[in-house]
Amino acid sequence: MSIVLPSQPHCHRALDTLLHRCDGVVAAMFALRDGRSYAERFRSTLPVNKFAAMSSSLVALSNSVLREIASDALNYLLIEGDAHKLVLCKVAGSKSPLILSIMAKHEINLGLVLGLAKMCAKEVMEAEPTESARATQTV
Amino acid sequence: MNEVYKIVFMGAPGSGKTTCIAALSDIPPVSTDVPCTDALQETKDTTTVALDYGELRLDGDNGRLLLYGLPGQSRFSYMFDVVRTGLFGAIVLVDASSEGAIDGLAETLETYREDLASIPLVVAINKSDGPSHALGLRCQQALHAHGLVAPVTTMDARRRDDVVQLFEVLLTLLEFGFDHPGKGRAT
Amino acid sequence: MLGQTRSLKIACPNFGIEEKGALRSILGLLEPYLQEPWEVSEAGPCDVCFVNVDQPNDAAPAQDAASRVVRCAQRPRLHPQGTIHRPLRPHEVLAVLSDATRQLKGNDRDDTCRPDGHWGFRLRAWPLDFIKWPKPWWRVLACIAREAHSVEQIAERTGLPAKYIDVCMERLMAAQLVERLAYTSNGALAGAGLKQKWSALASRLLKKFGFAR
Repeated sequence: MSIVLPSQPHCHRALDTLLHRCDGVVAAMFALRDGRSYAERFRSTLPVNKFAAMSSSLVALSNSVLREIASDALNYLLIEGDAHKLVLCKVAGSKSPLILSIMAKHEINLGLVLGLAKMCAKEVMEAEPTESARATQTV
Repeated sequence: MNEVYKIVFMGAPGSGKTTCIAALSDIPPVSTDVPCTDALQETKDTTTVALDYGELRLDGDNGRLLLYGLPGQSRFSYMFDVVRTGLFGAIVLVDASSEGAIDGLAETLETYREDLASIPLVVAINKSDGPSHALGLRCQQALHAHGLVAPVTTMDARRRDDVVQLFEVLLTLLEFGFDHPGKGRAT
Repeated sequence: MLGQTRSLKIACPNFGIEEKGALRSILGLLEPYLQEPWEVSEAGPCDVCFVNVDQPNDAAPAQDAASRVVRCAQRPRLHPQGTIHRPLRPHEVLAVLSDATRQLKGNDRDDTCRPDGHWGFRLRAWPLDFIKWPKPWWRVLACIAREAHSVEQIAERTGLPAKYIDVCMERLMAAQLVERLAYTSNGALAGAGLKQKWSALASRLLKKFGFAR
């Protein structure tokens, strides 16, 4: 079984753009759905592996909740703490193996963070041939 | 009184955690399996990235036993925090059909050693063609290397009676070997 | 003080042939646990003398004044402290011979020795075939899996007769799956209330699964 992923350099460029657009973004990461980091950019020191694994768990649990309660599927997960906001989403639909996680300072508008997440994810997927054009995409 | 107890199944991907829970649960088990993206995909399609959940009702709803399945990989060690409180035992599963069976067990023991040392623990070898003395010995060696002493037995996770027998062993440990599960032990 | 390595001698002047045979068998079983080799001596000086005190008016033959006398009785409680059981029990023979070795060597250097002399057994590893063992023996295994306990403590905790526990301990010793250690507590084991709680849970669960208890 093969997995088609956007190139890591392109993911890094997309994350660089994201951080450039908003000073309040503290960390941004593309993680694989089974909990490993694929590309990351942090403004401060954060535990990379833990962040990736936790992002994966959060998305999977959220998906399970929606599926079990409402036969629905996850689009975005929004978490708000006292000092930070966290936005997670799957990249380009349910078949992609990538998750995008963005952590921002509390004062940043949640809608802005969500918008940045959408733009970043779209940027990564538009740079590569789509899934349907790749017969080997099986996840 | 509506009492709630917890037990956890742990182990490397493919070791049978979800199957064990499904064999016992009174409710359809909830799982958080996702497709694998690493070398694991050659042996298994999916892996648990959060936890599996099932429930056993006791005495006509006078109590519940919550069944949790946790991934054995070290990167998911924080998931144990979710289940730690009120946990009375752990069953660590070993996939006998996997070449990396002992590596997987060692990773689980290494990751959760402190917690596993303070609660009743049973190691269960799953997917074995028959009694495997050699693999059993290696499991014991892995336990010893991590300062743990625990029963090692063979079972078929698809067979409810086998899973129930694990419970019998675990409950014997709890009743006769632990004064305060979860509160540390002498090593 | 002992010189070159030689087997220490046990005399059993009024033991029957079968009992001497049983003692030899026990010595074989205990070999990995004893610091010095011991053997049953038919004649000559001895280091320890086992005397069957259940045979009245049977004076023990002359023995080396320096040897230590160990009384053996079917009901040790009716005799002075230090009397051990007949038929001989491996863990008691082990305790006696270990103490004797320590005294004979003339020093107390024993990593596992404690002044109060409380000894117990702790499991090194579970038998790989424990599933086939009698289920009551699982209690013994569970009891000594984490901490050392004496046979008396195991009996108290498991509710099993000491003789029954002896058989299990013998099997474990033969497989070298137990180690003999000193322990600190010498009273009743704590946690009776919790034990009841877990016992109740076990009953409920096993009943749910259709298993009798």
